[in-house]
Amino acid sequence: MLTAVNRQARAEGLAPGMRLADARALLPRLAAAEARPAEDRRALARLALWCNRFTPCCAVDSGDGPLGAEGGAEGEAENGLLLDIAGCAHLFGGEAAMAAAVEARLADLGIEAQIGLADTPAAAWALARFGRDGRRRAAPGATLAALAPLPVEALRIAPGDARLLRRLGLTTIGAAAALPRAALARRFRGRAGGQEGSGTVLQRLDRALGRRPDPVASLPPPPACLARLAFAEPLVDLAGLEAALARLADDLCAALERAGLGARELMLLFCRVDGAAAARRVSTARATRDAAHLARLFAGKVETVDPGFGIDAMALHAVRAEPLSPAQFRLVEGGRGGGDPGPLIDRLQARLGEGSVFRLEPVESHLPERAERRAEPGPEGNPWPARPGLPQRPFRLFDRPEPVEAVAEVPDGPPVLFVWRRLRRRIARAEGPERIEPEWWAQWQTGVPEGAPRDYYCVEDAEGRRYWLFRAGLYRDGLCRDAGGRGTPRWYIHGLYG
Amino acid sequence: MLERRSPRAGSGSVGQSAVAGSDVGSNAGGAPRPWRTGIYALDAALPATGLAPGGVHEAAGAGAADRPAALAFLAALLVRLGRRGPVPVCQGPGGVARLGRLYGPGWRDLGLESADLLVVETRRERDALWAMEESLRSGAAAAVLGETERLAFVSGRRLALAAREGGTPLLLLRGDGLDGASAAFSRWRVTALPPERADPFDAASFDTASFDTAAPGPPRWRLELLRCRGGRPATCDVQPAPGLSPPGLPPPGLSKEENRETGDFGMAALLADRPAAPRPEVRRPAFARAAG
Repeated sequence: MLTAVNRQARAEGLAPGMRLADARALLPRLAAAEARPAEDRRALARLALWCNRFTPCCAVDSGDGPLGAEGGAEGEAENGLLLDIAGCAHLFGGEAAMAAAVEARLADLGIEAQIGLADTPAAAWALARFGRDGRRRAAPGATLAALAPLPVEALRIAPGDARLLRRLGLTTIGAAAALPRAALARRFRGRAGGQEGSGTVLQRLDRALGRRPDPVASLPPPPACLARLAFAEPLVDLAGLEAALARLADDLCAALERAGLGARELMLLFCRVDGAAAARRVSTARATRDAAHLARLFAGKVETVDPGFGIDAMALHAVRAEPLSPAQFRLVEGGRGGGDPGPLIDRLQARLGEGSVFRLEPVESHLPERAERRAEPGPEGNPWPARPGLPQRPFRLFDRPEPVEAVAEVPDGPPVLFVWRRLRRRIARAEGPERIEPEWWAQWQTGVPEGAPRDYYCVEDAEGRRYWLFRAGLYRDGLCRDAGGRGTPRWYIHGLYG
Repeated sequence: MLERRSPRAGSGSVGQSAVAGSDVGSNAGGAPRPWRTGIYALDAALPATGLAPGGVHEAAGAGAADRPAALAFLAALLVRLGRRGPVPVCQGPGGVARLGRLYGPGWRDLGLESADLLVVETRRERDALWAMEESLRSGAAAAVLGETERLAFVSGRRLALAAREGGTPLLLLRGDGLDGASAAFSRWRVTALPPERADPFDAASFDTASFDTAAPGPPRWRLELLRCRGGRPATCDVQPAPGLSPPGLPPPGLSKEENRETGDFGMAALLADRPAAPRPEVRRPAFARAAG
């Protein structure tokens, strides 16, 4: 089955949807390559990133429409880019000039683009795919006029709806739009649910004409602040990129200051001359607009970007920002132990990755592994409650309790011997049990039989090392379902004492 | 050092040693106070200024199974430092696999504010060293607690320089032992010891925890100060009084221990007083067996 054909093949009469054998019969010299949709998607995503040079708001069109295979030439779900150019066009000298610029830049990359331009994403989608050359642009406010000659499929309605409209003689959007709304709504009411998210014909029409909001999920929210820099000559060396980064950080911080914001999440974009793009993200522990600090966060990441034939544009987006009043600026620089840990946390996180730096926060739970959780490494943590009268807890805890072979004198008593990590440890002293019943409403993936109560013992071996063992389940109690299905309680080690 | 020792040498009384402990904590607001272990036999071996707050202090267990004890000892040292502020705990994957993750409730029992701990878990051992260095240099940390499976001399030197630059101590748990050259300020070997059992008919041990004579006692360690810049080696067995406080957080109780190397008797009051840590309300009578 052909999924896509180039211009030459189309001229020979091939079309997507044909079987390869048929196509070969038609055109024996046909060069066919296997379709790799995943890679197509990735390439499109890269291209979307690259399009950040035109507008900060661009994404792969995820196509919440019907888009069956019969949708004609461009029937695939994700085969377009969506650029929100509101407020950007004047930078290129108007909408038409901008469209031409985008097309020219893409043509430089060997990509043939059909650009539709309209007030709404849906209308632009229709124009790009169904519009005729030279008539793919809808003037502001004249969307209906531009859409009217297009076939009804351009509304991204379900194929069944489109067939029905055609059978009724309504072949163009203009004809469908001329119908009374009530009639249209009534006729297609029942068919809306046929395809997920396709909406009724009326809804689609309203979206295209801007009468109804068209939430575009794939479009990222515009960054709070951004700074961009295009270079006359593509940069290939690290020093140049770092200098550019420093300037971008300065610009961004100035913009943030004007807006009274501090960045919490940042994205640094690199656009390569050959159409590739790369993005690096960092987040900060607290709102900041310290240019030097921001530049340092990216310092290790710039090296990881392959400049290829050169990078000709860079942009620094504050993806997420929070209000930051000027008073919050650091008053004291770095005192001994009293400094602001924010920059340190940021640097650690930027290099080690999200989630590798955290604080421990208490959770109200009797289950030991649930009694703490990882929290954002903010500047100050919540104090831990005292636990007066409760048994001691180990200071190291295994994520998954490790099974041990234990021997107990009496079935319900503490062990006298256990083998852990192939070492036999004779227990000299033991304290317990501390029985902890499971939380019946939750399920834990700890490898320990669920639903079994645990009897915890703090034990000490002959050399004075202390361990926290527990027995999952009770003897003579049907609850115990261990992994081997033997129905006997098993022993685990859960933690270590100092 | 002898001068510092002489007023207390042989005193062996509870009160004096308690005073010695509290005066360390009291002048927190003034000049940089010396950072000491609170154990007389060990403090006597340290230089007069105590442990360097801008230096690396390494500890290792005598055996692989003694690593938790070594870490608990470092935690006790951290309590003695008495600084408030974030304490990055930098761990590579090896330490986590061997000893498990940090468990907040347990650290609280050790006398540390778990909210101060800033856990840094890295995917590679090298990154853990980098995180330690970065934390030390930033000067924003009260102290840095690190775990490493292996430490080359050059890396140790880097860490020592970073610690000096940031004025922040690094308490480093080494998994590879303490052999070989090192740039650390002090190096400790810790061995877990079985507790000495108190006499069950002794008044001091008459409390709930020691009713159960089969229960594990408080921790007891042999601390060996192998090397200390400006100090000399020392060895001391340390055990906090039973029942006064959780195992791991040695209480203001006392026990009398023999310093095996010097043949000296020191008061091994352990590692407990810190202004921020709430003390147990009930002061036990002197640990009679130990004091006598």
